[in-house]
Amino acid sequence: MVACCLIAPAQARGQTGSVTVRVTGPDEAPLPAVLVELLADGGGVVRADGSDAAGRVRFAGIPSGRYAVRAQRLGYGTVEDTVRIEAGRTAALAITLREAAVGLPGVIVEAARRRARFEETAGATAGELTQRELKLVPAVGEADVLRAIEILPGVVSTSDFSSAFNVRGGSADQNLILLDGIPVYNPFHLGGLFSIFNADMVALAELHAGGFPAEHGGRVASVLRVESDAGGPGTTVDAGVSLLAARVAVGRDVPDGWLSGTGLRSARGRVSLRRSYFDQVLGPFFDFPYHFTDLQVHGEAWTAAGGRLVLTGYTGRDVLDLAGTDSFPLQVRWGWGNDVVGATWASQFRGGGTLQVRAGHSRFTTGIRFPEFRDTDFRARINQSLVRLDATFPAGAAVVGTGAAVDRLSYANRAETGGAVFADAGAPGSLAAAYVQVRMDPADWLLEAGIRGDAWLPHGSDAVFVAQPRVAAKRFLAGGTLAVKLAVGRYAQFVHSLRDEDLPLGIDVWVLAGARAPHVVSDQVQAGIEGYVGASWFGAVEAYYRSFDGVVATNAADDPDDPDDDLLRGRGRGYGADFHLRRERGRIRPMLAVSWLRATREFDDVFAGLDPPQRLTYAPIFDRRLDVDLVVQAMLPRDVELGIRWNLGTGLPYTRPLGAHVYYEYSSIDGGWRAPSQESDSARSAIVLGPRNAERYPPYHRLDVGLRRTYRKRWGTLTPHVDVLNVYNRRNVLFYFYQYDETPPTRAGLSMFPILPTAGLEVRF
Amino acid sequence: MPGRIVVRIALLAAMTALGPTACELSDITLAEPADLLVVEVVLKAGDTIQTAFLHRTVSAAGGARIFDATVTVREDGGGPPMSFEADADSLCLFPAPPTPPFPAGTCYVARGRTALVRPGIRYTLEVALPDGRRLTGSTQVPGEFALVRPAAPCRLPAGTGMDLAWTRAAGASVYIGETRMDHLVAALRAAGVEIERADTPVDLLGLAIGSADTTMAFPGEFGLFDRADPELHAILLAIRPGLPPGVRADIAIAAADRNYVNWVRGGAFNPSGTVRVPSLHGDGTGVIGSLVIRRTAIDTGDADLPSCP
Repeated sequence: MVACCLIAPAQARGQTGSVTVRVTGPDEAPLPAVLVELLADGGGVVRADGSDAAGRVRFAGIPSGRYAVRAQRLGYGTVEDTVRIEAGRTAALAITLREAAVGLPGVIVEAARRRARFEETAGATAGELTQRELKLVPAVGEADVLRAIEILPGVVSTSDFSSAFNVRGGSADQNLILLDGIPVYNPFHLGGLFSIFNADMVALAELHAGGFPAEHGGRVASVLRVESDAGGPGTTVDAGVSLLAARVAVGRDVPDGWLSGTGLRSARGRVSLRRSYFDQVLGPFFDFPYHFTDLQVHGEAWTAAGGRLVLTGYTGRDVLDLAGTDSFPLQVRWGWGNDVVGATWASQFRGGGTLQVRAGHSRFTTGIRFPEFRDTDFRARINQSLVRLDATFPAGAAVVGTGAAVDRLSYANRAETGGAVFADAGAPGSLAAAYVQVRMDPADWLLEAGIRGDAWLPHGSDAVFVAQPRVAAKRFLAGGTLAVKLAVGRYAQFVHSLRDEDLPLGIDVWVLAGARAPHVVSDQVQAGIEGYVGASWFGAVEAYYRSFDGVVATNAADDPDDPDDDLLRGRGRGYGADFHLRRERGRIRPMLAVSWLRATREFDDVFAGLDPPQRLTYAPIFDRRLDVDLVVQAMLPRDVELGIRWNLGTGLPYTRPLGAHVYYEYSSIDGGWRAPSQESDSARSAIVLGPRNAERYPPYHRLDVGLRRTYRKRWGTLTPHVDVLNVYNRRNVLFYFYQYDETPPTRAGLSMFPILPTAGLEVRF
Repeated sequence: MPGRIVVRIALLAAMTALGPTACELSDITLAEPADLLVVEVVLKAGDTIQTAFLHRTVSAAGGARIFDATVTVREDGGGPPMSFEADADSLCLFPAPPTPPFPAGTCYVARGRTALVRPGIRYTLEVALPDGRRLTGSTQVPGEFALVRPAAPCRLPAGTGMDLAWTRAAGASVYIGETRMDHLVAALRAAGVEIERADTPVDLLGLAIGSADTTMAFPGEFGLFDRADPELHAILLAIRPGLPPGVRADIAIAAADRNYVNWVRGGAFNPSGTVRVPSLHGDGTGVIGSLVIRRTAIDTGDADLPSCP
C-alpha cells in the first residue's frame, strides 16, 4: 500500500504540465489584474486567475492536452488564444490586449484570484481586501485598511479607539506590516485611532494570518501586505474630504518623450497628500492641539522586456501641540511619524522564472519637548534598511523559490528630565537571512517545503541563528473543490514594541533583541478544510496552535543599576479555530468570520511582593474568546453601494482592583509620612489589584452601516458616503473605574463609540 | 516619575481624541471592598527611632485602627529583634493626622539601640495580626555616603544655582533630593513674579537614578514631578536660574533602596488608579523600604553662612 501511495503521485505528476501566460497592453507593458481563464475543449473553465503586477499567470498541475486561454480586463477587448500543455513541461503563452470600450467588472478578477490562491497555495492562510471592499467597510470618517482587516478571521481588535490588531494569539508587535514590501513600524495616526494608509492609494491589502512560507520573516504572528495603487491610465485625480482629513491623489502617465533613452517603455506616477483640518477650522474659536499630515508617492515603470520597477515613498507626521492651560500649564510639543522609501525591480526569465530585487529604508521617530524645560529629552527611534533578493524558477515538476536578505536595524530610546535619566537604550543590529522553498503539485496534492535561516547579529551581544523549517500540504477532494490542509513551521522575530497593550491609545516604542531583550521563536501548526460550493461560495475552517517563546513586557520593578532588566522575558501561547464563509461573486456578497481563541502569557509577577518573583500565567488583553464578524457588501441599483458590518466579541479580560488605600507620601525632610490634605485627591490613593486579568468586560457588539452613491458626471464621478457606527448605540465598555473611596463605593466606566454618524465626499476624474 | 507626566500628556491626547466619542457609563453601586492590611515601613539608617504605619484599604465604615499587630524587624545574621509598639500618630504622620473620610492608620514605633539601622545591612519585617493575617518582606539598606557639595549649610548668591554632589552609596537604587523652601512665594512676589498661592513652605523633589548618579542641580532639577502642577508651574519657571534673595532651602538627599522606589513610582496601568509595586507578601500589601539620609541647607539671605563651594 505504501508503494501504491508513492507511485500514484509519480504517475499523476507524469500526466500533468504547466502553462505560464504573460499579458501585456498595446504598449507591451505588463498588464496586472487581467482575468485569465484556461478553457477545456468544451469551453468549460478549467482554471482562472488574475494576472500579477508583472502581467503573469501560471497554471500548474494541468492534465496534458490542448486548451483555450481567454484574457479579459476592464477597458480592453477580450483576447483568446490556444496552448498545448505537455506532461512534465511548462508551456509559455504571450497575449496582448487592445484597448476597448467595454470589459468586465474588477470583482470577477478578484474572485478568480482568490480561487487561484485556493488552488495554488498549500500552507498560507490569507485574506485580502481590495480598495473597493475596504471602502465598503464602515469606518470613522474614511476607509481604513487596518480597521477593515478586522473583519478577517483570526483578527482581534481590543478597542474602538485603536486600529492595532492581534492575530491568532500574537501581540500587536508581532504583525509585520509592509507598504509595497517595506516594513512600517507604527502605521497609526493619533495614537492608533486610524491608520496611516490613505485608502485611495491602496490597491490591495493581504493578510497572511498563518502558515506563511519561508520567504516571509521578521514577525511571528502575521504579515499584512499593503500594495499601492498606481491608478490610471492617463491623468487621474482622486480627492476626498471626511470627518478626519482632506486628501488628494494625483496620478499621471509619464510622457513617452521623457522615457526616451531610459530603457523604459512606459511609466506612471502618483502622489497623495492628506491632512487633518480641525486645527485650521476650529482655530478662530479655540485651540485644537492636534494635526497630522502624510504624503505618499508611488511610481511604476516597465521595460520593453517586461521588467517592472516600483518606487514607493511615504512620510507622515502627527503633532500634538499643547500651549498650556490653567489646569495643565505645561507646554508640550509631541511629534511622531514614519518615513518609508523603497524600490523594487521585478523581471521574468524566459523559462517562466522571476527575479525580484528590493531595497528600502523605514524609520519611525517620536519625541516630546517641553519648551519651558529644556532639560527634558523624551524620544524614541527605530531604523531599518534592507536589501533583499527573491527568485523563483521551475525545476521539472516543481517550482523553486529562493532568496536572501540583509537588514540593518538600529534603535535609540531615551527619557531624561530634570537631570534624571529614566531610560537610555539603543543599539544597532544586523539580520542576514536566506531561504529556499519548493512547491510541487502532484495530482490532487499541493506540497510546500522550505527552510529559512535568520542570523541576527546584535551589537554588543551574542549572535543568534534560528533555523526555521516550514512544511505545508494540501489534498484536494471532490474534484478539486474541497481541500484539507496542514502547515507546520517555526518563525522568529528580533524586535519588540514596548507599547502597553492595556492602553486604548499608544505609540510603539521599539527595542531590538540583544542583551536587553530576547528574540521570539514561535512554533506553529495549523490544519483545516476549505473549499468552494459552486463558483461563488467559499468556506474554510482551520484550527491552530502557536507557542511564543521570548515575548517581553515592561518590568515595573527594574533595577536602575542593571541596564538589562528593563524588560521581563516571558512565554505565550495561542490556540483556537477560525471559520470563514464568503460569497465572492454577485451583487450581494456576505461574509461571515467566526474566531475562537485561547491566549496566555507567562511572566514574572513583580506585583506579588516576592523576591525573587514567582511566574504568573494570565490571559492577555487581546484574549477575546469568540469573535464574530458578519459583513454584507451590496452593489445596489443606481450606483449605490451598501456595507454592513456586525461584530460580536466576548468580553476582554481586565484586572479588578480588590480595594483602594490612601497613599501616604514619605518625606525625608520630615522623617515620616505626609497626611493627605484634600478629601478626594485621587493622586493620594492607590489600588490593590486582584488576580491579573481574571475578570471579563461584558460582550462587545456593534452594528455599522455605510452607504455610498456614485454620481457619474461628464468630467468624472462624485461619491458622497455616509457611515453610521454603532447604529443601535451599544455601550461597549472601554474601562471600568472602581471608586472604592466613594460612599458607597461605585463602579463607573467609559464606553467606546456611541452611535457615531460620519460623512464624506469623494471626487474622481 | 516622568512616566506620570507622559501618561498625563497621553491621557490629555487621548481625551482630545476620545472626548467627543467616549461616553460615561452609569455608576453601579458595589458591595464593600475587601478589607486588606496595608503596611508601610521605611527604615532610616542611623536613627534609633523607627516607624511603621499600618492602615487598611478604604471602606464605608472607615476601617478600624489596628492596635494589636505584632510588628518585628530582624537584622540578617542575628542581633536582637526590633519590636514595634503602637504609639502616637504624630510620630508617623506630618503635619497632622488625615481627616475623614480617609481612614486613620496606626503608628508603630521601635526605639533604642535595637532600633538602630545600619547602612548596608539586610533587614526582614514580619507583621502578624491576631486573626492570623501575616505580611513579610525584607530590605537591603543602601550603603553609607556623604555630602560633598555643600557638606554643610552655605550661602548662595540669589539668582544662581549650584550642583549638589555626594559620594556613592552602594546598593542605592535612586537618590531622592528633597527641599523645603521657606518664604519662597513672598520672595518671588517681591521680585515681581505673579504667584497664586499662599506663602507656605514649598516642597520640591529631585531625582538622581542609579547608584552612580551622584549630582543634582539646585534648584533647577528640583520640582521634577510638579512641572504640570498649576500651583507650582510658575514658581518652577521663576527659580530655574536660582532662588530669589531671602530664601532658605533645607535639603535632604536620601539614598533609597529598590523597595522604596518601586512603591513610590507606581507600576502597571489600571484605569481605577495607581498600582504600587509591593515588597511585602502575604495577607495584604505594603512596603519595607530603607533610606540613608543626609541633610544640608542653602540660603540666599543669611550673611553669616559661608559661601557655597
